[in-house]
Amino acid sequence: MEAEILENLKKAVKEYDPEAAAEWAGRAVQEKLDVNATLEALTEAIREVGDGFGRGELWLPDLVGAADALIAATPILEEELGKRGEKRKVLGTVVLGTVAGDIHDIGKTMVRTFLTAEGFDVVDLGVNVGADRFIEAVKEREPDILAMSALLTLTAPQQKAVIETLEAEGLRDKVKIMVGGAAVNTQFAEQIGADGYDPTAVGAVKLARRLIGA
Amino acid sequence: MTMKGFVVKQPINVLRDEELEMVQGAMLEILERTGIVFQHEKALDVLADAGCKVDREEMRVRIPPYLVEESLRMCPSRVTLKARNPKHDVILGGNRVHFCPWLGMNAVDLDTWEQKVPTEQDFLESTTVLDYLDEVHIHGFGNYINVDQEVAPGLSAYPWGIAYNLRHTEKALFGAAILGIEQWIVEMFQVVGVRPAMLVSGAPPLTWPGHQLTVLFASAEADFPITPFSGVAAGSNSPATLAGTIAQNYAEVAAIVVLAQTIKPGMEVLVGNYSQVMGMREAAVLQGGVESALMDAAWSQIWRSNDIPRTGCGVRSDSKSLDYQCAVEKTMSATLAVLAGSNKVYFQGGVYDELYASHVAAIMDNDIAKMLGRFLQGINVIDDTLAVDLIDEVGPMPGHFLGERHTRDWWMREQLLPDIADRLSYPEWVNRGKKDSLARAKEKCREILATHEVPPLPPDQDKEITKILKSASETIKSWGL
Repeated sequence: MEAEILENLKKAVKEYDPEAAAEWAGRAVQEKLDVNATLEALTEAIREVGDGFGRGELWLPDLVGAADALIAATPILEEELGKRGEKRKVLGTVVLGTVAGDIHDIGKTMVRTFLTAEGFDVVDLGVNVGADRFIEAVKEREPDILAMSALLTLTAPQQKAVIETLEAEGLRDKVKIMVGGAAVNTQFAEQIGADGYDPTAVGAVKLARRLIGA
Repeated sequence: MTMKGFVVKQPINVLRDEELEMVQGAMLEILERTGIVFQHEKALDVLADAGCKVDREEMRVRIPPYLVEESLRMCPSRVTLKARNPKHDVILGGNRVHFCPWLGMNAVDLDTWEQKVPTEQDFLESTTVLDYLDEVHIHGFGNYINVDQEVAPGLSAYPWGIAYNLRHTEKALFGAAILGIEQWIVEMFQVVGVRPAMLVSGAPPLTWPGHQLTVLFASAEADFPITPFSGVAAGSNSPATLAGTIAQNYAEVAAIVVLAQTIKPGMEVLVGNYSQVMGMREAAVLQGGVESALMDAAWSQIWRSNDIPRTGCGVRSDSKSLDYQCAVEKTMSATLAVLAGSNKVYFQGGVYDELYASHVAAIMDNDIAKMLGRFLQGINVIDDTLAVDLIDEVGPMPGHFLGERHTRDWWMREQLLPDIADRLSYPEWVNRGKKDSLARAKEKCREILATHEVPPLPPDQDKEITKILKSASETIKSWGL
């Protein structure tokens, strides 16, 4: 039974089927499977898709589809972890969002997808995220990395506002900060005191690994 | 006023009549059934009063088809831009095509091909070159979006860029703003008597951010035209299919036309297209593809059918250097945009999509612009150009035309003399150092910078601009931005 559930979970990810992924995650909980082992199966599956993308055999919509399936299954398993009082084993946790005034979603979604595929636990706060919500998430989730996106030149300075608030709250040293988006560049990232910047979603993953020393 | 630009005698259609009809139907259905989000309370009030169904919680507006059609009819067929020097005023619409520079976030170092944040010197060189080039009919935003933080930190880069353009070019301009700074931007234009088109940027799918709608309201108040864009990338924030992307993009921009005509009947709108495809390998937006050129041509056809002035996304390339790919992609997209009857084509200076731009590239692009202009001028057929009497006079071999007065009268009116294209004989090319087009463009650039001067603003206007800029910068600084 356990092997069948894990196989089907992997299949759901590799067939980009969020409904099946959620269903088999539910079955895993029902059948009292080891939750971290189940999460590991999901990660294995998405790595396979990620590797296929890396080899040039699969394409961006495949990777996003696989990540969506994984994202559909994860909360069900995390809830069970909480109930059992266990902790999740992940490469690292990233809190991610597009800053206040900016509602551009695509770049951030791609970064989320690539980070998820790498094995990071990604908390996506969405778009138009104010400094207070970033701070709240940093306090609550204690992530390794805070990642902020800004497409517009006009909203990029909001990244600075968030970093300043983190400093004021004494939280700046507890989290690495990466910034991205079309409006951002290395000079700007350095000026606002971020720990890293990369212009691409693929590069963001390498940056995240470097920041956590993985 | 002298008319600028070129006339497109017979624009090409990429959609058949029945396909155009289907796109129109899809656009009306999207706006009526799915609706569109306007993140702006006053916009919701106005549209509710006009007969739209408004969901206040979602800020979503469903627009009845009759209102869309009525608004498209109310939209003027011409947009007038007033420049600092009236000889550069431009009327957009009808079958006339104009060129304006393509803009990039940053500049590029042409020796290392590294991006760099533009300095004030980069702005000066770029603006001088664009002011000089005759086929840059509208300066627009110029070549750059960013500027060195030392020159104008954070948000103050916007008012700084506009002040810079007002001071350093006499050509017609565009403006861009965001909630909170729109009033300063409007004031600066008014001080100099410039009537720009104001950019209003959407966030697809089907969303117009509040900070941009504020700019629309401020433009209505100032009697400035707007130029709305909704940047769709097929397969990411719009359907992977070109038809679906076109329909969604049409719905997004038609919705802004409805809002504009509801706020201010007869408001001038230069509808903008900024559509591309999502690179499914690169995980990046691709702009130089043939699909973008095709969607751009459809855009012109759609709005031409409504007799509303339109601007396309124009001349772009995904190439990182000024190479074969760059020239091919730019020439293809430029040719299609022009033939499809775009009223304004973003053209000179783009290097890699919107990530960077170069005024040396602008000089090379201007050669393509000249060629297209010549193509559009077409073949002048009159008795004198048919030259039947002359042909009879010269007769068969060994007759020739080189020494004829007719040749001296006509050849320079018929032949285009490019600035950059190499036409030397092979030995001559070797003798002169085997220069490629980039080297020739750099030479031309040095020549322009050494000789071209833009008259300064009158001192009282300059003083007023300084005052507004100072007050804008101080306030922005006090916001911590």
